Amino acid sequence: MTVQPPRLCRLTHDPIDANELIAAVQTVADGAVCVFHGVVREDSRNRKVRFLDYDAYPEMAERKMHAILDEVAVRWPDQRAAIVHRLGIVNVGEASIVIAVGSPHRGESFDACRYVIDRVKQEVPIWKKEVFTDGEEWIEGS
Amino acid sequence: MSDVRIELRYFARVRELLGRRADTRTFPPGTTIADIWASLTEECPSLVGLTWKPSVNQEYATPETVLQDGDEVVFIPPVSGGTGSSAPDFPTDPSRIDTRFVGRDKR
Repeated sequence: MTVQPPRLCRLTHDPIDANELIAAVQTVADGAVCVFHGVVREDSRNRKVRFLDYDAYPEMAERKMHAILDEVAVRWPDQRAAIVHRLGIVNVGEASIVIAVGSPHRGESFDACRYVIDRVKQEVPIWKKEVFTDGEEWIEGS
Repeated sequence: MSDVRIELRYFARVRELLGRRADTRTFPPGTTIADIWASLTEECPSLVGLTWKPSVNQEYATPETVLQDGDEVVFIPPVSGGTGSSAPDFPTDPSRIDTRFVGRDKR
């Protein structure tokens, strides 16, 4: 029997430690751990970003993140995923989200990791405001 | 039937335009989410034209939803999205594929 680590799924105002996510998903049965970092880029539509300011509906965001991990458990029963998303000010170059997926084999770990980030972008009520050197703007998804 | 008491919470642009984070308000029975949005836009016309989808008690709902006493309602602006393509972008140009390792690993 494989020991299942406790699920890691949360919002934080602190920098994200990817090692914590890896530890939360990896078991001895795994041959792959896929880690995705969504990071803040300096250029946005030709304006210079100073930082992003993330706002969330926290109770619903955590609920939706847990629901996405439930979906992963159904689609890929032998994999585990973890999600940590930053709130508040995130500087250029820092990660606003980190996702880790532990899998027996690498192929499915990429698939599941991609699935998680796409679902987060669709479902989780988190918004970012881009703060530029010359103004600010809420970014709305497409 | 008595009035319903609704908890409204505001986020992102809606919060900034209204200048507050939350309200508790009472409405007549049969009030829908769209009705509440209409009353908010009357108070704050700069909300007009914003896109949102509503949630009731932390689940997505529709604007026609009739609210019950105690419901928590949020007008959720489009989530932060990002411009990543929705389909994986694998290299299709063979010259971009590093063939040194292809087929080596049989798992």
